[in-house]
Amino acid sequence: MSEPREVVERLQRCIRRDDRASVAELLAADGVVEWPFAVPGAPRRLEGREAFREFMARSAAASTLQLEDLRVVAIHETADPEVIVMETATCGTVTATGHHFELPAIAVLRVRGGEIVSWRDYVNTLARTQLTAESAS
Amino acid sequence: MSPRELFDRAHRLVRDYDVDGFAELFAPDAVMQYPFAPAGSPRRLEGQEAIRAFLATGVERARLSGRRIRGLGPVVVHETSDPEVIVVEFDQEEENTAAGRSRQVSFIQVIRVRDGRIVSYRDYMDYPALGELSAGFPPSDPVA
Repeated sequence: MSEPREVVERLQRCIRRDDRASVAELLAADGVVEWPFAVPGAPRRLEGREAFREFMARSAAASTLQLEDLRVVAIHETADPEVIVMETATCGTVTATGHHFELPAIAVLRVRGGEIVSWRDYVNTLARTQLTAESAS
Repeated sequence: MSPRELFDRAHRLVRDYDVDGFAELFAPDAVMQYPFAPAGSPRRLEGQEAIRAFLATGVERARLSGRRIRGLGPVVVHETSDPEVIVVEFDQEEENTAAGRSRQVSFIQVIRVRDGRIVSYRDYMDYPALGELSAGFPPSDPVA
């Protein structure tokens, strides 16, 4: 199995355990995470595993969602052996209501030495905001 | 036409508001998907005619609201192990001339081309960013 595919599988295992702390460990020490669709107030770019670790710890602590699965809709291996594109759906439940959700997303990963050096994560911010609002109501 | 050439042509046509020309790049039974579309807006359109009709409405709204594409930033094309499929990332400088607002909007699209026609187009769009550009102009549709 290619290195990028292996990283996708490791990410899947983290999400299935709802283990957000371990997601941060997939990033290289100087890796970069970007959210091109970030809403105002949310980070658009984080540099380094340490910053990502802190971000994931905060997001896990504040989370109102129970993550259950990262369903792979499509994986695209690219002409660049380091780069993989994944179309996914993050599945889980809203803790407060038990309501099941599926959040589609697409991400472009660059993997080197088994670690993610660049992760561009395009997420559905509108659907995410609605889920958070649902938890609060 | 290669997937890359089709993307370039499609993008030029969108920029020129040429909906008919754009729709002609699609196979008759092509599928267009907007995986991030909000409730009330279609997530999936089947067939060239449905795609043309939907885009005609959207382009008319964009034109009425004064929204237009001012420029295209760097385009990253990922050729995939499937020769029919490319993934394209790009930024567009968009402005709303009526409201005097402009901003950069990011896009990522997965395009499948067969026999020189687009058979599948998945457009992951940043609806809040596009909505912000149109805000204040009726109808208040996030895609307008």
